Amino acid sequence: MNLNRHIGSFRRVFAAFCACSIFYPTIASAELDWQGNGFGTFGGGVLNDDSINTQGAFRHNSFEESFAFDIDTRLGYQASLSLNDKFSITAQLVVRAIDDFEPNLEWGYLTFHSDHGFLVNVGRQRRPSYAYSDYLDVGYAYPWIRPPLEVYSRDLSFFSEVDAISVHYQRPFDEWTGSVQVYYGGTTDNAAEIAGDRTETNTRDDAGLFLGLENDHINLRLGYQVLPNVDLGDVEFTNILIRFLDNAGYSDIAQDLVPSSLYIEYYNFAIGVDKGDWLFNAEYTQTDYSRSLAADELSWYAMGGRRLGPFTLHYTYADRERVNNEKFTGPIRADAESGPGSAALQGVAALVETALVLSSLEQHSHTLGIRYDFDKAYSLKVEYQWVYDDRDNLSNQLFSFAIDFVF
Amino acid sequence: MNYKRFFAIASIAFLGAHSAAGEGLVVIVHSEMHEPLSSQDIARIFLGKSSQFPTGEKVEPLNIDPADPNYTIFARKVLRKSPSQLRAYWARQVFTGRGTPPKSRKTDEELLRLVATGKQYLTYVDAEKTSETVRVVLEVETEAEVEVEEELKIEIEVDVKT
Repeated sequence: MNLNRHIGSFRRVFAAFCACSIFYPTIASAELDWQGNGFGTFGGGVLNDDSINTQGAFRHNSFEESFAFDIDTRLGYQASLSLNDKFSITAQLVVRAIDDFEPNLEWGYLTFHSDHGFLVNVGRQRRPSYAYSDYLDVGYAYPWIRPPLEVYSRDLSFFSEVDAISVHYQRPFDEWTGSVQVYYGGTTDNAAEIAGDRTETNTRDDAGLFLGLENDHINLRLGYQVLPNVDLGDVEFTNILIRFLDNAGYSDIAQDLVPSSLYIEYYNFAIGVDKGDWLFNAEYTQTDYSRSLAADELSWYAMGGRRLGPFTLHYTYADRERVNNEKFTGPIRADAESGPGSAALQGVAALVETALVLSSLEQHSHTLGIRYDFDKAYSLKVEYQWVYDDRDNLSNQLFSFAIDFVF
Repeated sequence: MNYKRFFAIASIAFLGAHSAAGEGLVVIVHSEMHEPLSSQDIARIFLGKSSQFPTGEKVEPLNIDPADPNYTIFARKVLRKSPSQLRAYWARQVFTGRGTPPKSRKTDEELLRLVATGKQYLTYVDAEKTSETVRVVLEVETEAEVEVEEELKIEIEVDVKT
């Protein structure tokens, strides 16, 4: 899509521009108004038993039986340059311990500020998929060490960032403020690992619509996203399965499995209540895959917290499940059981069943945590989590701590 | 018991922030700005939800230095957020590119001087420092004693439970 190519090169050009601004602040501040803000987390975690990640078909998190400090530790810096009254450029750079602190220009976009409550951003941005998505790296801004992985896991890498044009509008009425955000864009050549294969994913014509309503204490959010052309690249496992199905006479099903044409829809509802002394957060998300082995996914969490001076105590229950696409198993299973040539089909049916079992998931977790706000912009967090893999009957506990700060 | 002492220390640290509060503070604008402003309008402006006065003119809110007790009082009374809620709020706004916090000045005198020079400024100062060069749109009682009591209550509650 032409727009994506233009955005891509634009991104490179002004990334260089921003890098110059950061390294020559004296020049920038003499002529233009720039502002820098940073955030960071130093954290570690350990599992009491890693069977939940190694024995099951699904890897729940990246933690292990020895203390790991590289999963949550990160540092980010955001610089914003005001070109004039209406235009500004923003870039955010993040270094993560897990990437060996290799700097990654997460975002870079041009903003147009209108006087009537409109904001237009053009460039690379975070997809505001769920309530905490667009500030997921700023640990300081939310009570947990990390928002529930049932909703916020990063296992789909084409999902976090998007090269897009987005419009944000907010309007107050009485004590409420209503907001609408829409975006349109895509991503190119995002490295990913799917079914054990390294591949490069592409998306185009992605679009999202997000509605928000908030007042002093309550925050409501409704979101819808569609990624109509997801290209997962070359996934060997799926190629093998397609060949088998083709040979067995199920070409129409095989057609649907071609990994270059996924159609994915995301639905999201979130509510947050903050009454000072106590707080409540809940979120529900649903991901529908229209043409794929990948199963539809439902996940949700509910969190209740109590503030006592500088402490916040919280408990969260989270749940996640993937429901298989019956249209793949149904006809094959039926034919394998009783149709002509059913013996030959047993093999195909078994392969399909394996694929479906591998793409199914059922898990839930309980988390207890404490957040302590000390100094002006630091917080210390400690969490204990019980994770249950209900499909493979595994469970374990995760202990983690983190120090979050902003500067 | 360790928890008691720890909480006592934590509460006292909190009390320290309020103990130097003055008689009250007032939210002020240029003397020629005659339109009324409600507490809600002011909160919206200081939280970046609106960049205009209700009449449509551009507004530039200004804070006192965050180390000044008036900053915390204004946050609690008008914005209805505790300092940590406010920091988390601005962290969210800043790092999602939706806005930046108002600029701040170190002293009430600087703020008063600025307000007198431009019709777009909106800020707050100690009630006793106000003058005829500015117009008061809202009065905020500090109720320092009430604030202190709140902190002590938290300490007592915890003691009883442990």
